Amino acid sequence: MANSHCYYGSVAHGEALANRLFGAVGRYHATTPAGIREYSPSREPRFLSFARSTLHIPPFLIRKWGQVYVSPEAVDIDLERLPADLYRIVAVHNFRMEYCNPRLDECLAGIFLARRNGDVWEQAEDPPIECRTIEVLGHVDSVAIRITPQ
Amino acid sequence: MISNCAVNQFDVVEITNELPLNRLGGVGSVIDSLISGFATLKVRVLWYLIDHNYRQTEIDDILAEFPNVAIGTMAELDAIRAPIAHLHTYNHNPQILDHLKNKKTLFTIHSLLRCEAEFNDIDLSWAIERQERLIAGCDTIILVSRAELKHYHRLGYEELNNRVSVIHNGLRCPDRSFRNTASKQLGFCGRLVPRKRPEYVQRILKEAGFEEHSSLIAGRGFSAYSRDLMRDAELQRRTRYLGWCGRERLEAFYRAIELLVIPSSYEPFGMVALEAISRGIPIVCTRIGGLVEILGDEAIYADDCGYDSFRRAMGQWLRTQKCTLDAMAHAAYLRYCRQFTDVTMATNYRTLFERVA
Repeated sequence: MANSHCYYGSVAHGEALANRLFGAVGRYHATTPAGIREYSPSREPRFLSFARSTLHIPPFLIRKWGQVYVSPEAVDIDLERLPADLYRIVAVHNFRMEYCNPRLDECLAGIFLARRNGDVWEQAEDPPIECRTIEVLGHVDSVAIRITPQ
Repeated sequence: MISNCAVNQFDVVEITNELPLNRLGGVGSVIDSLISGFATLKVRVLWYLIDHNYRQTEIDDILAEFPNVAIGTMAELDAIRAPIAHLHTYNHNPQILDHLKNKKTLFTIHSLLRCEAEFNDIDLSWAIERQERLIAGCDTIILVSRAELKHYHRLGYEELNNRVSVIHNGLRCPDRSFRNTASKQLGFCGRLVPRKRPEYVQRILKEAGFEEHSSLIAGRGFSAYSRDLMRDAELQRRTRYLGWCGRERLEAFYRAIELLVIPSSYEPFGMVALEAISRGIPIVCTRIGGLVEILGDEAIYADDCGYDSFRRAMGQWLRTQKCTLDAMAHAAYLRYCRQFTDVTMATNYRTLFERVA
């Protein structure tokens, strides 16, 4: 028997993982703002940054699978609110947030901070996150306040 | 409690976890149509938001966009003056009844969690127990289809509460758009849970006759299963996951598809079927639950929930002439207009409120 799906998050246990999914509120973005940078690991070596204990991820777009995944706002994550750990910073297609953009080739991206679970990283596709992994942006050590591979 | 109105005398307090903004699921769509339906009938309603997940900016928008909204706790319900409390909550906390003692309590069950657990093969025991306590504690239970009433009896729930009514959901009339008959795009819309069989609309693309088709999948909740299906390079090119679509994006989805498929194994009602027929889009679906009550003879049905039956129904759709599909879609649209509008639903609820008050 599988674990509960995200729809049942409000009626089932195990929501803490969902607190590591970040991103814009989709309804405010019926259009993609102009001027968003296209994320490319080779072209953006210093894409992620810190301000004290806050991880800063600027707005970005990623082209993949014939779609454009857009994170239309900067995402700032206060790492002091999370358990001390090494996190994988994963750009995801956010399936938990209602999106209102009528351009069907554009989708709403978000950020999932995955932790290691034994020998493997948590997967965005698993409950209760149930989002689609697009790209790993990097890793962040919330104790050393260090981003890798930068 | 915060509110955008004086919390004075109302005909009913509607208690919900979501309003039609960044919805959790189908209940948000039902609430949307209840708002418009009750407004047409001039029923005085307080929309009471409880146990929600909205951010502050969304709260501000809710208070600005929707009239007569209050956001508060269970205890603060004591202050609300209304003879009827109508629950739509997903969070089935039976303690809420302690704060509704001076009101008649009606509980609309949008899906029976014991059925959700059974058809999705998931463990919801904790939530089921709470839903059952709420069923036992409320004055009247409302189910959204006669099919759901059969499940209610099958589960022996009449022992918990035998004051049960069936009221179909309704839908506010959208701007009518006609299907894109040349798009070659098959649509699926809904939560991507196992009982809705979202994988069928991908698998069908591999069948003879569908070589030129693609799939648009609108819904909440991706899965490892979906990811693994998409490892097939051909499917990756021909299947687009749109995420959880609202408002203009949902309209764009319906404008883009020429057929909606609903291969569910369990469907308490099927709001997505109403959304499609109100826009003139034909449907291929399983012959189950609320879908049959909505669609009558105006759909192409798969005989059972298996993929082979679905494939045969899709083959029938391929062979059906356009004029026949047009006639079916029009007849389904007329069914919607006669039986499933927001005003019809609100009228049925108002009649029930008057009966139990």
